[in-house]
Amino acid sequence: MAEAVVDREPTKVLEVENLKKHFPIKAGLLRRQVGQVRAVDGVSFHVEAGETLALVGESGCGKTTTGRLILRALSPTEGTILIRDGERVWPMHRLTAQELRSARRSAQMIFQDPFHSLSPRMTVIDIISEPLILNGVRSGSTRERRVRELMDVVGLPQQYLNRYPHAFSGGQRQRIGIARALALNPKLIVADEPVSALDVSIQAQILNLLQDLQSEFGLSYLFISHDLRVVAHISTRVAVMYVGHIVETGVTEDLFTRPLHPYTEALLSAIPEPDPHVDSEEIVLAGEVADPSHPPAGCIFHPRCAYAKKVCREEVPSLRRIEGRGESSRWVACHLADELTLRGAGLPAPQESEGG
Amino acid sequence: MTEKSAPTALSRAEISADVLLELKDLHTHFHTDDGLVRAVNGVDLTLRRGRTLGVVGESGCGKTILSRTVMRIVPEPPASISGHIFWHRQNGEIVDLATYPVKARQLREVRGKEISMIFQEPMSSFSPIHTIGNQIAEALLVHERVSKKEAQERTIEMIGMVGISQPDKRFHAYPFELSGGMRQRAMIAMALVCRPTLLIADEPTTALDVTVEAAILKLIKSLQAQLGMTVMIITHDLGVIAKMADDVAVMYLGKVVEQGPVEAIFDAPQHPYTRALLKSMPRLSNTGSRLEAIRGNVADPYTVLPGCAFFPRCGEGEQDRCTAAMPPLVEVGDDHLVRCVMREGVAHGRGSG
Ligand SMILES: Nc1ncnc2c1ncn2[C@@H]1O[C@H](COP(=O)(O)OP(=O)(O)OP(=O)(O)O)[C@@H](O)[C@H]1O
Ligand SMILES: Nc1ncnc2c1ncn2[C@@H]1O[C@H](COP(=O)(O)OP(=O)(O)OP(=O)(O)O)[C@@H](O)[C@H]1O
Ligand SMILES: [Mg+2]
Ligand SMILES: [Mg+2]
Repeated sequence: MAEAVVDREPTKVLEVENLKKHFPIKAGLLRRQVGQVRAVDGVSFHVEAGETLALVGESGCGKTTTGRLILRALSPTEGTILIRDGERVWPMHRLTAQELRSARRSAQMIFQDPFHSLSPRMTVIDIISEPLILNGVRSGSTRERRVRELMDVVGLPQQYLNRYPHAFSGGQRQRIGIARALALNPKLIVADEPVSALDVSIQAQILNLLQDLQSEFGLSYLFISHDLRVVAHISTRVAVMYVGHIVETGVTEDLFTRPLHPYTEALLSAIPEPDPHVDSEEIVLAGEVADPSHPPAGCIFHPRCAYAKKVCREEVPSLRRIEGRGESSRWVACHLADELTLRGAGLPAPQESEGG
Repeated sequence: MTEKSAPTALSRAEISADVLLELKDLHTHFHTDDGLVRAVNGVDLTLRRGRTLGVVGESGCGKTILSRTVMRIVPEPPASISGHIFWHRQNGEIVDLATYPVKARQLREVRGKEISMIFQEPMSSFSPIHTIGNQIAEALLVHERVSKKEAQERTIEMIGMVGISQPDKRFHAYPFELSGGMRQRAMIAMALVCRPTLLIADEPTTALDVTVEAAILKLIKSLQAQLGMTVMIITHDLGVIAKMADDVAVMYLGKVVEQGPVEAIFDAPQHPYTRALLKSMPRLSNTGSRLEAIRGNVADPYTVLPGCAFFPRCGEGEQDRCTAAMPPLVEVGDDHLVRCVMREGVAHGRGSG
């Protein structure tokens, strides 16, 4: 039973331990399994109450899969997922379909792709009120009042109430998705690229909105994004993922100014500067993202790492703790973390190389 | 990009040799049960050969519909198109794409071959039941006289060029087997396999992480240089605009409110909306502060506001001047145009900023 779990960490809204998802690769007439995609391969992290943990990393590294596992849109191959809502702790990894319905009141998802997360046959009011119906809000007028309120909150004109999703632009559809996620006042929101389809001004509104909702209701976010400027702005801490593994975590400002993993360094160097006079020198990573069905031996990043040594090709580095600034601690999975001095990003550059 | 001469210094012939696409008073209106949606509402724009035009603007302002109108792939009805889309064809002919019926042979020849597009939503541009390789090769088979074998070879080469590993294996992959980023690359391969003159990229990198984004933007730039391609890039990311664009057009509610060389737009933005956009962008240098979102929401698309559509959200305007009539485009610098009555006086100082 859900309630039987011993509550060890009352401030943690989400705890993920050794989470794995291996997708079978099938081939041939009989669709026999010939291998597996290790999409998520043993990740552990947590989200504190009221904080925003950003999950960043290259396309295909397993961010969306991780998000979907947490809400049990997918079942994990291995690992534990605990979601805490007040007195309740939901062991998401082993809930039955029946229990999941209640658990989803505590955690909701905002999707990456606003074009496919909305059913084309449902109007805006149907879409936003669906979670209300599933959770037993029977009165139609109560639902409509709540839907109108939510539309206001996310900045959708109320006269769109009876429109279908196809008649909305990408940004408008994303607002519908956010309104729907907020309908049941969840504790945790897994937001998968929630603002990447939005132009900057709406993005600013939505980011401000997410921050307002967070301070008002003590919401926690797992914020999946590839936009590191947005991540720098919104997150308390950052976890960097590479091919199914977490390679580095840290408090946002510390991680941005002093990356410890060469992959983080490359990510930070590729942030496009909003200034046409700057020719940014991004580190273009050699080679390709490792194939999650045939991960390389040793450190999973070594084939693309400019600093790799013999040890990197032979031994898998474990995620280890390194002293952070002040109270905060850093975790990194790199054999060379103590010897390397890597280039950070952000905060006014110490030296201007060329005029601007 | 650094040396530019004023268009007045060129003869007519030189201007037209330089021009690839001219949009004149272009409108795309949707007739819906709830009313008329003026998605594109009087756009004048010129694209010059070999250059990159960046289009930015708020969600719903009509960027996607504008680009789809150029390709003539908006559904008609409910949409109706008026105005001109002068396209300078590879064979030297100038055609007005707005005048052809939807199923015209000329449109099919231009579309996918001379102009091709990378879409905002990669999943819907691939059919789920065919391999990506076959779908990319199909584009070649439709537009060029090539054998199946050659189409397959060129497809595999292209899949490799966009940075997908083991291209000969990935040829046989289905769209659902690829992550968002990989699908985006596959779509770029499909758009470029016919070597188009104009590539329209609608949010080509919004679903991608920065390292792949950097690689794909680099890829588009290098293919542009190799093939002498012209690019129209639609994005909400001003960082991408700064990196890619030579010229920028800022759209608001179906109209271009400001256009000009990228340096002018970033260094001396003139329209209050452009200024607000630049301010609302998250920057690494001030992560602690609250973002300056533009107040209010985009007006609903059914009602037509008198005069400037941005006025209700603008902090600068004056009721009488701004709502009297739609402001004309005024020139505030070399090739730098703005649709704002508050800047009409500034026009005299052109070239100084
Ligand atoms: N249903 C599935 N069957 C097989 N493989 C899958 C499936 N879903 C995802 N994968 C694979 O798992 C890996 C992780 O995919 P995921 O969508 O989680 O990546 P992501 O980090 O969200 O990428 P992006 O930034 O592109 O959205 C990829 O290699 C992907 O191809
Ligand atoms: N099929 C349609 N029927 C009616 N209105 C439509 C239709 N398609 C788009 N629209 C409307 O046209 C306007 C322009 O939409 P468009 O998709 O071009 O916006 P956009 O600038 O690309 O926005 P985003 O940045 O969110 O992608 C919007 O008001 C949208 O609601
Ligand atoms: Mg994803
Ligand atoms: Mg669009």
